[in-house]
Amino acid sequence: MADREVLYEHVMEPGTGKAVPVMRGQILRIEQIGNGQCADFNAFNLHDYKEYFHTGRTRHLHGLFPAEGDMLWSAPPRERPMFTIIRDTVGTNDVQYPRCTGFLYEYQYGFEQHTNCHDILAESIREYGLTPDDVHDSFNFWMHVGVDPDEKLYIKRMMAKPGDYVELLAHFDVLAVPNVCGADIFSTSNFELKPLKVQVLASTEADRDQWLQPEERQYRNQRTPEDFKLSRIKADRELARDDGYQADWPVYPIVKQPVEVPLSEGEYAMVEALRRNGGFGEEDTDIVRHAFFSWWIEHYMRGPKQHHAGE
Amino acid sequence: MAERTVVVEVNQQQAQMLDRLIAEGGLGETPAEVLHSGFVRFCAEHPELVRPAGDEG
Repeated sequence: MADREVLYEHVMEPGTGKAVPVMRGQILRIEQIGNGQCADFNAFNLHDYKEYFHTGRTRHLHGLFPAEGDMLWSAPPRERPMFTIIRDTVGTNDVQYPRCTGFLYEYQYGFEQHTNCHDILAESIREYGLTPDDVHDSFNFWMHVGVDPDEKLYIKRMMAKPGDYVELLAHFDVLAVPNVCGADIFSTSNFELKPLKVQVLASTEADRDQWLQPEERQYRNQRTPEDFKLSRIKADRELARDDGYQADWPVYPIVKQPVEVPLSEGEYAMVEALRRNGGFGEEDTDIVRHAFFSWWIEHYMRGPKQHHAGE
Repeated sequence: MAERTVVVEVNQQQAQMLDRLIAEGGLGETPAEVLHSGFVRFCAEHPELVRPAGDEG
């Protein structure tokens, strides 16, 4: 890290994301600033936006929880490695859950408006002329997911701490689009939204020797638009920044206020018990928050809960 | 009598949800009371998670 030049740096505040060009051989680094925040992630070929990241092929080739050493693949019929995860200090990532949406929060919870990854990703890519229809299923960095005995997915407590990071080396020129996941009522980010730092780093020769894939396609069936019977699309393929773009996030800024919750001696003993349990966090505030929202999910969420309190 | 006060930060979306629970009634008249009610009810509904230290059940 010390000998890698920082080419770009940006802090994504809660409620926001950022579309960032990452050229072949460069490294995208996403770093925790607060105590555990999920980053949803989309990616496009910078010179042909119709080639984009595909959770399905990534899951097929690397399993349910891709981590260090695994690659992020583009969708069929292109099917090229877009990035390799060259460093992952936590190792809990998800490619099962789709990005959260405004519909989800309205259908399951009754919110008329709520931060959600689809709308944040859509607003992020608008900077490059793309539309909400271009958002695709996300790679969910740090999202900690389990499979229960009934073979149903559920969301576990976020494990990342301040300073944890992932580094992705790009195998071709990519528009990378991370965002601060908008889920503050799931344990995805432990019921609290926090900022994330995004950097683009120049790789070293050693990085490239170890990780960089050949630029040319390695397999006949990694197809290109030249292989298509109808290869022309209505929109331009080249992604160019809209110089007049001004971010207009659906819910921003996220403003927090303190609420003082009085506890009796007996109730505080329950905080201690939940701390010993280990799945509710370390600090009193984390434990009370996790227990409260777990209760709320159990009683107020419509549909599958996908939550095991304390895990 | 409260022995401890735990400060929980909530954002405007979470505050909206707490306001909705206040409006529904039964959990308290303030965000603090609703957070307290939910916490206490969660513990009551999950005795296996809040056993005293050394109690193996």
